[in-house]
Amino acid sequence: MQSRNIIIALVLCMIVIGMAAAFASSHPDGLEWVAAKLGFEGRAADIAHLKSPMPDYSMAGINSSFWSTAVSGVFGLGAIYLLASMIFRAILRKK
Amino acid sequence: MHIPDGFLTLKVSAVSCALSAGSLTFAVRNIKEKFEQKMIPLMGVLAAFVFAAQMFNFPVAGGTSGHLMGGVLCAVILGPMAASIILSCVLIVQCLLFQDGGLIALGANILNMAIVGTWGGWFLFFILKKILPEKIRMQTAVFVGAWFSVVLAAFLAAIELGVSKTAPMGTAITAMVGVHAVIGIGEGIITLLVISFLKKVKPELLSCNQGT
Repeated sequence: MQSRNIIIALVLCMIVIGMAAAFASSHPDGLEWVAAKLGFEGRAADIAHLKSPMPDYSMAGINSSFWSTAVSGVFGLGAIYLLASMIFRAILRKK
Repeated sequence: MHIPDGFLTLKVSAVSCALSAGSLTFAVRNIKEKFEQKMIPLMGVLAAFVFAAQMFNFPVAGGTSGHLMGGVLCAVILGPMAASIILSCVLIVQCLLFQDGGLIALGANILNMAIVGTWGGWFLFFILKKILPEKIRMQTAVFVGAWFSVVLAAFLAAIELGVSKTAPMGTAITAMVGVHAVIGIGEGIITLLVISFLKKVKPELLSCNQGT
């Protein structure tokens, strides 16, 4: 895939993230909804004590809810692109 | 549908981790010879897109929301094996960087969405593509396959919840499958829209999956 197309695609992804930050529904997702309905949502527990840098798609230090989500999303975008590329580079046989 | 820690017993988590690890090993071995390194940017972009789309929750019916899972979307383009690896990357980053989905539950989330949901949905897509009449073949197969991937993943999650005694098995299945049958419609629509768009602007992308 040409570099130009990659960049266009990644920009599109950033637009999706922007839209997500602005418009994403705050309703509980399917599992959360079921958990609330059946009464087991209280079981969710932080057992692993994972110190995530951007818990729940927010960045500490950015007050605006939109920018907090959007910036964290862009970091995630970069992380995923890099991780996926690295993993496939390791898997695929070099020609 | 990312299961947080605390919903599943350690035993269920451990078993699903083992199954995921085994499945991913299989997937990795399977694609080793299948793709050239020049496909890597496309794989990266698909992973990025799935991540971005998963951030975008759309409201569904009365008081719940859904988001794209993306398994069949990736599978239609790159085949189910590469798709499961891509989705696993997304789930791992979501868990580690954003605490979206538990760490102990990561194996279950990968098993449900990246593997069983993706492979099952792709398989239905594959079958439908073979048996449906030409005119509606691609669209229907994509839509139904994508829809099914979500329902299947939800079904497996419900089983895990039932085995963990977090909820009665029957009730969990009914609730999870019910809600995700509706959310799956969104998956079907979005997947179909993206595939149709790609077919228009870059049709050669859809033949990466030739012969799978």
